[in-house]
Amino acid sequence: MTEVLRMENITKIYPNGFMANKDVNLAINTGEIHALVGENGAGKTTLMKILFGMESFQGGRVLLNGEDADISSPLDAIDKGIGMVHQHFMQVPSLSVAENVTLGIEPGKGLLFDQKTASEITQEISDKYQLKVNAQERIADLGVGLRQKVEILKALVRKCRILILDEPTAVLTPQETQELFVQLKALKKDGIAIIFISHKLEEVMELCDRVTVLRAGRTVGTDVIGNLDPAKISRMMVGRDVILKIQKDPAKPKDVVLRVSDLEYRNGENVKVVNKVSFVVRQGEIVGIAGVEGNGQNQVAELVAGMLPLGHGTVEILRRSIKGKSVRKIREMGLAYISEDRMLYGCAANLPIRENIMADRIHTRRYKKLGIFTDPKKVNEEIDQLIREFEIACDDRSQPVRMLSGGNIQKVIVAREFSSGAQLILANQPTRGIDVGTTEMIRKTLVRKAREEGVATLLVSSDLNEILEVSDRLLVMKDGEIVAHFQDTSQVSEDLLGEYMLGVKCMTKEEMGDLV
Amino acid sequence: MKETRRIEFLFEIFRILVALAIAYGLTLLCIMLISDDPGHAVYMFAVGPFTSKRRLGQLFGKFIPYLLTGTGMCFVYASNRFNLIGEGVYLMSGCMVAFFATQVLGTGTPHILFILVLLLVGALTGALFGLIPAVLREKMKINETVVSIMMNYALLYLANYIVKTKMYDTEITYMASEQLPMAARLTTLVPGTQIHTGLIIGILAVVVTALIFYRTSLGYSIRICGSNPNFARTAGIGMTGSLIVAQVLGATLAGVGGAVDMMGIYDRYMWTALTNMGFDGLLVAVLSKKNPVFVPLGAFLLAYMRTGASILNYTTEIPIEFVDIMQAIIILLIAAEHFMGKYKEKLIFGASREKNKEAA
Repeated sequence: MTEVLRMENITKIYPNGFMANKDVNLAINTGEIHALVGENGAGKTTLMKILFGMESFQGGRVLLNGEDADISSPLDAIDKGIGMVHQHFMQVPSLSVAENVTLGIEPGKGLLFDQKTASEITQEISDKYQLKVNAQERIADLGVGLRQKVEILKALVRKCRILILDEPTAVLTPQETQELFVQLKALKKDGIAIIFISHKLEEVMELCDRVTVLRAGRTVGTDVIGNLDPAKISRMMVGRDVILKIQKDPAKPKDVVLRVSDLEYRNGENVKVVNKVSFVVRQGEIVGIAGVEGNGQNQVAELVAGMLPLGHGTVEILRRSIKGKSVRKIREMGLAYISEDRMLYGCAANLPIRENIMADRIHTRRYKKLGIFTDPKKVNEEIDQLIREFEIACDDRSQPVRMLSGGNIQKVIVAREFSSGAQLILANQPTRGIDVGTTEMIRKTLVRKAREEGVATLLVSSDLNEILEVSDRLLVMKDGEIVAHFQDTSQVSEDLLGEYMLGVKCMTKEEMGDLV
Repeated sequence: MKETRRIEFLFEIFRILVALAIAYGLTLLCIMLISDDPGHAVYMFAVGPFTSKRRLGQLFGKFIPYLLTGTGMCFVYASNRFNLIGEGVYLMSGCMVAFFATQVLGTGTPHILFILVLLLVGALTGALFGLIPAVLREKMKINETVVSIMMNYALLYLANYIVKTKMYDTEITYMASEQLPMAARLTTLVPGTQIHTGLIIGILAVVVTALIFYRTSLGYSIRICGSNPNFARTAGIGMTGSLIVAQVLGATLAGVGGAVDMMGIYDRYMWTALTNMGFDGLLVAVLSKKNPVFVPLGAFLLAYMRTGASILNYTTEIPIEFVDIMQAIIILLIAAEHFMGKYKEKLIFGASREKNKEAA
């Protein structure tokens, strides 16, 4: 086995002053599957973006096959035999698989695109590596698992020798994950080096040959899998033992807070992405919605939050319909909403923490003085109180949010949503991409709010661990419909959940029981 | 990360200074190349505005309307709209002030009342015409830049039309309105200069705007909408309303600016071309980084440059256009956020390294 890649003393500082990588070392051999593990925010993705030419770095060097390599752009990286499968697929949904795979390296003469050759190329490589796809199909018609295969094919067709997979299993069900592993092992036999980013340690143990652990932007160490076990890796990752188990008493649901009946929604392409969805959330309980991403969960969340226009169906919060109401009205009716994309919907990055927390409440009488003016003393007191309570690491309340780390930005958002006095919390992917500490804090607070303050909570998450740990009742969505309903989440295993998410199983009306 | 914020702040000041230095350097170079007496020209340009009471007064004559249009454009710029209606309403409001002063209100009207009524006329003119592009933008998604630029010309010719048909003074050789009565003129504060009571109105506008920006929920809304509209919507802020109000308030202040300028400096309405005062207001807002507190600084800087240019123009053979070029360079360098960005990053990287070394 020869060493194909070596990254030496890589240091990366972002323009906001945050040091994401500090003297990081990584060495990869041909034909190995090398796990890169670490908490969210440990610098894994940053390191891989540097390797793929997407980010500049301030110190260190990259060696490919023992020679200094200056990777200036993703195009350059591809030329040098590096392929990357991103968490978010880089595909054109309206084009076919073959067209996507050959995008940028289209076969054909002059300006003419040779559809047939493109299909042949795609099919050939797909057969060779047992990554079965139909070259003629449109990307938009494919499921997430298949789309991921297309993404891998894209890298293979460009003759990559190093394949980076950034949390590939995050969007997959357990069954799809197993299939992916078989394929990755086949690629490994072919001599391709695979860098596998994950924080699911069982997967790492099962699939990988060696492991490199990052913590807070530094390399903790590299070792062969034989010397390690999940507990050891986990200690290396966080520097302490972590238990992401949440203690909670059984829920004692009371009155209905949120009632969703017969909800339907058609997207811009007139496809029904939410179909006849009905459910309730009661005081003091946490209802989870699981599902592979893109099966309508996000639309349900946005419909309930008033971000999408309500067409067919009704949404009632505390017996009052939200139809035709503004977002502010809906919030006044008792809703708090943690949106899926924190930078796009959750904050104004250039404005201070103060403005970001006050955004939903500054107009209320509580903060008024002399009729129209706000009371800066009152505002500042409350902001400082929230900064302390949620342990937001910052200079002070007037620091622009963009200077904070991802986890702390999310803390600013939950500080706002958890302190608005809402009786219904709608949390859409509340812990995506943030560090373990903040994740733990958010999950615990969700449970505490439900149990101690009797808040009704609707949790939408594609993180199976989260949805199984936090929710009391569980719904599964597939193709815009609810396909399963579990009265007691603690009785559900990841495998069983996966079968429903994939559509292998589907509950009948009777099995689901009372949804409303 | 306190260090990062400090670097960003100091760097911003440094960057403006460098931008000024580069632009001045280039201009001086040009002056030396084309002027027979470059020493004199440079002196006139750089120090000229401070050489006599009259010239300093001239500088303040520009400073005052800049305070008003500058704060006005802060509203527009902070809401992230590129609405240039300030230019059109500026002269339209000057025209309406002249019309009311010469045609509607009698010469017998008491001074204070006369001034207040005319200020109101200016403000209402601004608000009324400002409403059009704002409503079209927020209700119908029609591009505000296109509408406002087209409206600027419509307003210019409408004003000309009003002058010609309603208040044309046939006793003079150029097109202008009849003379404004003395009761309609703002009192000069320093005799022999253009420093008039409009200065008080300008400062008042800065204070009120700063209060609205940072001490009212409207100000929060405007800044949040301007910074991230998606977030504003999620947080339940009424965007349509906030953004219309922001743009209308901006136009209102520009209108007051036009009225104050008319009553403070001119004795009759004679603007037959766009005055550029509205556009300059945007420059002031850019210079002051859309923070009304910094508007006086930005307004002073621009007034100083403009005055230097006009002194250069009438004391030497150098055309005024030269200064326009220089201004363009300054604005470009200040507005281009990535100008010297690499250097700033280097500073931040260095600070971060130091900090991480201490931590290790």
